[in-house]
Amino acid sequence: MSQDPRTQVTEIIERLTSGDTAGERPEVLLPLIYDELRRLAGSYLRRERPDHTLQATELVHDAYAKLVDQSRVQWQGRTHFFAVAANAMRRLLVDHARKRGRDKRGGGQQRVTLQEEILVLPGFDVSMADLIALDDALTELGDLSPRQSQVVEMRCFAGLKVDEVAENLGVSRRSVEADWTHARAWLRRKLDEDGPR
Amino acid sequence: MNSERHERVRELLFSALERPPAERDSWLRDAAAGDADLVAEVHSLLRFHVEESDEAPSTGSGAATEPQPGDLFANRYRIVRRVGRGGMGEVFEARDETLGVTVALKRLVRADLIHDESFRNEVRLARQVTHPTVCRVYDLGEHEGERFLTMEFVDGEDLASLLRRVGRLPTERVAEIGRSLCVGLAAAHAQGVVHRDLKPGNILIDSDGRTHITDFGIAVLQDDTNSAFRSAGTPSYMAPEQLVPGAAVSELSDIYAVGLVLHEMLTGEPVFPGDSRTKVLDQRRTVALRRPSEVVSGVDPVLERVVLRCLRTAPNERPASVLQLAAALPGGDALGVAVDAGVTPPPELVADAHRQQPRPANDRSFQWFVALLVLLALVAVGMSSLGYFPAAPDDIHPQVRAHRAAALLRELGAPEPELGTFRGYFLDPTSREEAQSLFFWYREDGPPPRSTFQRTVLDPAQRMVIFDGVPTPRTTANLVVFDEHDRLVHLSMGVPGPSPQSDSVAVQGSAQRGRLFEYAGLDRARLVPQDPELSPVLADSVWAWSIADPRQPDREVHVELAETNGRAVYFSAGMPEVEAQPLIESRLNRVNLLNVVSAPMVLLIAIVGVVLAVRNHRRGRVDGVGTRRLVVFCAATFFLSWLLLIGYLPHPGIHHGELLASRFIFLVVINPLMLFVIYPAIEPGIRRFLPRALVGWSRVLRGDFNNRDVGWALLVGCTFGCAWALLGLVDKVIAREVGGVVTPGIDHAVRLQAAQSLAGTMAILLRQIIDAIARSGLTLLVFLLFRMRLKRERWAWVGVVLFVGILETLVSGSYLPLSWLVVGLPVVLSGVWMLRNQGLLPYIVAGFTANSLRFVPISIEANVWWARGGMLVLLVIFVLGVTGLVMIRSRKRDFSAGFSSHGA
Repeated sequence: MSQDPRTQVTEIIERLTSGDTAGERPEVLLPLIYDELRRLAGSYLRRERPDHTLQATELVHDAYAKLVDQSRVQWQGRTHFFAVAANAMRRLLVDHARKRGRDKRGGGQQRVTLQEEILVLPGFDVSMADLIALDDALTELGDLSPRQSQVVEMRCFAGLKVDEVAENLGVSRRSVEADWTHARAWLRRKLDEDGPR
Repeated sequence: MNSERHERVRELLFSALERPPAERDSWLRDAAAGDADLVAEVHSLLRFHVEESDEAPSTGSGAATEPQPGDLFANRYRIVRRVGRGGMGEVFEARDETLGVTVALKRLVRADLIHDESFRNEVRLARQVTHPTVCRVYDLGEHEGERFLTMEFVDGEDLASLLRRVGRLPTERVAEIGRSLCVGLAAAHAQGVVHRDLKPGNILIDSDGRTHITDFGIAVLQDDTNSAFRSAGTPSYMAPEQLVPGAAVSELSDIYAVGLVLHEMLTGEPVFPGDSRTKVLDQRRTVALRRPSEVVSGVDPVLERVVLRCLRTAPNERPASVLQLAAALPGGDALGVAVDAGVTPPPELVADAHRQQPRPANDRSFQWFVALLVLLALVAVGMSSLGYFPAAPDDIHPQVRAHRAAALLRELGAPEPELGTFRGYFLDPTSREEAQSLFFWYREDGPPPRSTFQRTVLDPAQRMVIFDGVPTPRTTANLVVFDEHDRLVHLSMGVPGPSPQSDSVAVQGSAQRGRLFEYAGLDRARLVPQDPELSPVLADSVWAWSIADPRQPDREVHVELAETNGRAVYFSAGMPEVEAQPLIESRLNRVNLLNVVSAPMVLLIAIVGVVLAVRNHRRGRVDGVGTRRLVVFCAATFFLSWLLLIGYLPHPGIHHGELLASRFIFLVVINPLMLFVIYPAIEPGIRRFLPRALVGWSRVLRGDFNNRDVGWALLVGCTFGCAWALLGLVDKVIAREVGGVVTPGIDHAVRLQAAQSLAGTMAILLRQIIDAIARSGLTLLVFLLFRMRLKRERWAWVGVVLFVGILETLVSGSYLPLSWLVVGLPVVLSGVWMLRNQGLLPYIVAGFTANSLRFVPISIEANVWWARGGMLVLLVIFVLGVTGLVMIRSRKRDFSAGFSSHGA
């Protein structure tokens, strides 16, 4: 594709919000956003940040600013973007964590702690190592309740507010709150049960 | 668990949370309708539920909630407002409800728990530094699993936001802030604390414009090489060595950061705007450092030099310490910085202080010189007209009187002296008149006692032939004493001449007696026989008479004569009855109080001195070079004065060889050795509290004599010394008019010594140098002891004035309150003024000048036999004054400042 990503993403979002989708799903945004996020997170992923913390939601917002021409996109379009971006962010971080784990694993060492890397996610403070467990737990939660998994994804990885999540999912605010509350407690318990002692 | 059940749990959980905690259990049991598993599941989840207060948490902290204004944090701190966010966590202004003070509360956000160790470091290290320029850290606390830190709250703005607001700062302000940074860092560095993260964000300017350094958060002790946070810091403000893992980080890294901050204040832009280590490293590799003047115009060239110097990549090319950095700043005042920081500046820095400053066009040095000449003339005229000496012997040279005494001894058959002759004056210590009787004594020493037994039974009092009353065969000296009218008042023969039978030349018996009475100026016909007071044990015959004093008929003179083998061995006529060592003794009687006080005082000073010296040694504050040079100088001076005083006895009752030996041990050996303790005890403290006072002194100790500071010391010191001498004359006049006690005792004794010969005068002058140094040392020790106790310099000076004033009054002066007020107080006050404002060196010069004028008799009549010594003193003072004037007015540039000469 010769078009620059900004134009591409903006046009896709415009089509998604106007309903002129011709069967196009928001997921087509995923590779574009993933690439941008990876670029933005580059210094962090290369472990060059001195403070070793990653503000995931800030990254997503930065990606939005870079990829979307905000004069052409209304806020419904924004939620489309963030829903996909949340998923992209999750994949990016998990990929990174797995890769890191592989890099470091050697000599029969089974578990690698990456304590020094702190990930700042709304609702959770997890290290990169915990992130894989969180991802597994989130997948498991997705089997029980796909919507709760989505809520967590959007809240955590894209920093969407409750209202925005509700709008995006087409459910009530109260419902999102209930999902969020339940999911958090459930995930915490899960991580606590499975997590390393 | 399936999806429907999961959904059901969701509803129950959420609804339960909407109810008050107390009602939850009962409500849940009802709602679950007996499904125990469901209730257990919800309970289990409830345990993992954490309240989320903020809809969109800004910090990413889900668990810990951010304190809101008005909240009571940790049951103690009432949150006022959030003031910022540092690298370590959020900072709140809070009110400590327990102590009722405002504090800055720094809270660790949960995600940063990993920084806990560094947090503890912050507290541990920062608490060691207590200085107004460094934000005080109060306490580390824990509240609901979080750590927080309380510290001094500075109501102000950080430099970063100040620069954002106003752009760049004017030169004076930059220099001022730079100076404050130096003060704070000097205080920290003195404790071994390196800041490591100095940057505009960590520099607070309070509402009064004062600078505070905060966030000693990642500071580590320099020798703490194992710290995990060695390379922590903000990349943009890190020194190059901090960016390299494992490289040594030192005070010099802070100096680099100061350079960056100065640069940024001058230009308004950060030097390395990158926010990551990579970017900054990149910038440093690729972008050449821009001089401030390349960025903006109108940069002070001095400041620019400082900045560039600080920003050298190689640490050892930067200023060696923040004090040196301070010295290089415009109007560089390294000593002021050191005083403000409460640290002891190194001696080299003191010696190099204010060299750069040019000589003011009108420095009044010539006026001072004129004042000196006027005062010197007044002193000379005043002293020679007021008269130091009892009038009579002035015109007879001691040499003439010695000849006369020797002639008498030969007449009496005494052999030629084998070991040498000594002569001198002493005063009648029983007289309180100013015009005391001045006695001339002449002594011929024979061979020492033959057996050791004889030697051991000699006690000092017995050896003083003149005072033990009876001439004994054990004494080995012949002594003759004349009074001020040249009359014989005492004779004692310790060395027997050849036996009278074999010697027909010697005058014997009655003829001899006649000669004695002639010499004594007494008419034998008017003698009234009396009972002898002397025991005749060692003499064949003893006589005593009384007779009216021919000059003062109302005065009765007691005369005694003893003969052995028909030859006079003892004669006394009107010699005052005195105990051993009359001069010293009577002196001590007068100043008994001082005597009682001084012995324990000396001991106390010695103990304090040793304690201070050991402490200073341990802290590496001692000026080794200065101490060695001072000790060598003092030893040499004492040795020279010892050489000059060979052949001089201050008193007829002293054994010459023993005097030389004991003088040598005390003056040339013990005194300089004591300096080895005393100087390291006093000097570092003075260098810390009063570094400016030591500038000229330190230069002289480092062999740098020809500079303006030393010139001023000579000129001002000589002028003050003359003024003090003049005040001494005023004291004398007051005493004479009001009728106080004039105590010329020790003064006269020393003066007589000085008058004896030019060598004696020079010896006295040399001793005055050391005395002046020792006195100033005592004054400074007193200051130091008061200063360490009282904290406030002003009160320490008040203590010095009281202490030294009382001491001076006891030692000299006329004991009159009026003269203390008119003379003593001005002298002490002006001395303190000079120490504070002019320094130690002029104080020493003034002491030397005043005491030289006091202890050497001055006469402007050149034909008086003792005039030469006085002339020498006047000449020395004049030459010192001229030298000072020439040094001050020299066109020679002062050496360049220490900054450039000590940098590398």
